[in-house]
Amino acid sequence: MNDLLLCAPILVAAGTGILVMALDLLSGRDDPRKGFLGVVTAAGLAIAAVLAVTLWPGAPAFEMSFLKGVLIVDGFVAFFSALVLATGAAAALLAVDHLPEQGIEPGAFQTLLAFSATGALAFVAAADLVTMFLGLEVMSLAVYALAASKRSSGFATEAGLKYFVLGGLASAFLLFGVAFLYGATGSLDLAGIAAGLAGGASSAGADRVLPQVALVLLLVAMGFKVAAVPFHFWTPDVYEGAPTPVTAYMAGAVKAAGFAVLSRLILTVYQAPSWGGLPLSPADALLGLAVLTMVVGNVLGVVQDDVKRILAYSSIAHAGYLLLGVWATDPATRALNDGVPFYLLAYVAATVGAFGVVSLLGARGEEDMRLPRLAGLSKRHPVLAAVLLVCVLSLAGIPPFGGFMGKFNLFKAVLAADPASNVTWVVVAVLNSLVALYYYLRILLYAYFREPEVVSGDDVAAAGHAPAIRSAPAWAAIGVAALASLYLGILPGRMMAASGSAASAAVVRPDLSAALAAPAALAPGKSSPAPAPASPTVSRRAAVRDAGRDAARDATRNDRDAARNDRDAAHSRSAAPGTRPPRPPRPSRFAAPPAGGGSGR
Amino acid sequence: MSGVPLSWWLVLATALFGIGALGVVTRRNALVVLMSLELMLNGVNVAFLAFARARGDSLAHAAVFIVMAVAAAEVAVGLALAIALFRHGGNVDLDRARRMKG
Repeated sequence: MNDLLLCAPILVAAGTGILVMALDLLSGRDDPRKGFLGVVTAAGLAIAAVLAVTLWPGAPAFEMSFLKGVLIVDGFVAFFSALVLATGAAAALLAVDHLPEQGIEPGAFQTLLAFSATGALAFVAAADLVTMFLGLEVMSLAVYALAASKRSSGFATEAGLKYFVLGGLASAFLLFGVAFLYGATGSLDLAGIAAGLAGGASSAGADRVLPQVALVLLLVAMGFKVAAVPFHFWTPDVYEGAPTPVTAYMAGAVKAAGFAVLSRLILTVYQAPSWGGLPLSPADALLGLAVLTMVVGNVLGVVQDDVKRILAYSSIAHAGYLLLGVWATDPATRALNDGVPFYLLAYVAATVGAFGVVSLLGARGEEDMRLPRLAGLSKRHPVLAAVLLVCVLSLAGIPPFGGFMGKFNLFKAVLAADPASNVTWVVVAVLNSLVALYYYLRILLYAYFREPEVVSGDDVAAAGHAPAIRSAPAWAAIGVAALASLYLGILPGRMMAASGSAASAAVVRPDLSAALAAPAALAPGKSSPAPAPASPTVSRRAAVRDAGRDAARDATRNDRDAARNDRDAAHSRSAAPGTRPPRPPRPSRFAAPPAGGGSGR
Repeated sequence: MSGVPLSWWLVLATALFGIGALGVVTRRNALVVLMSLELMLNGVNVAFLAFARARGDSLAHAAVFIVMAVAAAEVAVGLALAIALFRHGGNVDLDRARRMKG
């Protein structure tokens, strides 16, 4: 019963999909009032979001019993689930009047949207890598179909198929990485894998190769999902070809879910202290992806002349800043940087608003939105232009809006993680933001300062005279997005606090359950003779040795690693007398698996 | 594991996965690409089962069943998309889909 209660948000989201499917069947085939399906979807997803933020943050107090080890619910999951569900609700509202305009069947569309949000919830809340894969597939399969839902358009079909092929590739990579992690640790849940890797990290040979290969495979897969640079090439095409409400959902919800899982997966699984000695540490890989992503995203964004493509490259560039945030963990706690959830919130609000405006302008079956079509927008539709202004400036990171607070907090947290060496990367990120200003301001230049060219006949729509779609639900959605961008910029305090508590729960500690369940068994004398206290010291020595050997090549990184390991070693030493809260030696989990309540398998 | 050692199974799994990945990247026919995706997932299944056998537990068997079910669902969506593509151009050539700018 407890489990059912805790699963309520997921069940409500799935139930919304089933309800919408039934309502679609009950209403007539060509019922003109099918717009209410979108409103029902949005209402269901909003209820699920409210349930998620009320039920889940306090969840560790009453834990899952039957689903323990399948789903985790905590503040982190609550934050990202609410974000995903809100984006799904916004996309449903945007679609209400967009779909008839484009000739898309609303029933199937809204059903798939609700199911996709359900999958995203399972993806974010998964404690188990197979559940994670299942959630990913439920989310993605629905989005492939949504992207291709405009069956009259070859362009949309191609977008859907392209997304399908590359998404399928990414899923296979994820799964292959999961198989290797299973091979390395014999466990499929996050905590078990983390504990297994931490225990085996000091050993040599094959035990170190498997997690290394898994790391590469997982990063490739998650890179595809969040559109990080070597794996970004599908993004502009798919964002451009898909119906604009779907684009808003992909850029908002799918990316937010991807980042939630990326940070939880990488930070939880690869938290072993001695990873610094490997050829490719998770930190290096994330940093490389981050820098490449922001530079390439911004540079290619400059040369685009379609608003949807510009926003697609902007979403790639934002993934770069976010990866930088995920990379810069707090060295003392190894927790997720507390600027990341807030940044995602601000980014999603602004992106959904901007794509919402584009979707309202996409009348007459047109899915592309070349810049000249925006000309004179401020005179024809002053309110839409104002929403676009707020959202685009927020994406650019201009002060009174949420994007600025997001960037400021993110970069501040990156600097705080390591003031000496991270300053380079913060400077790179700030320079990138300056480059990005060019294409953001270009959108506003067309919307506010260009007059539409005077043309006649069929080119009227192309020249920017097409009227915007009239749609109360969509106006509500973009209004909320714009107000959220303002709210996050002016009064960020509350959401910053929520972001901080979400970030602090991001990393699943492998030893937490053992420490809570059986503190007596963890007393120093009784624990197993496994070389638990020694391993950090050994790894520290190894790291220092590495630092000496590689000093010329990469001194700063190794210094940082050595410093981290120092801190870790100090931590485990001071834990012994019992002055700190108990942080048991990790391998004890394996020393006596049948006795402890911690390891169920 | 009696007989074939773990590493051989892993080589087989990686080869299947690699052939599949190569097929997805290089082939133009949407149906061949779908088959290549299936090949990749089957490579993953071989890896799962090899590890399960080597470790002597059955945790991965459940994973393999789930992967097979998901692969079937994935094929259903992929074939639907291929049919939609066919209706637009009379073939299932993915190169047409690449006329969109990278």
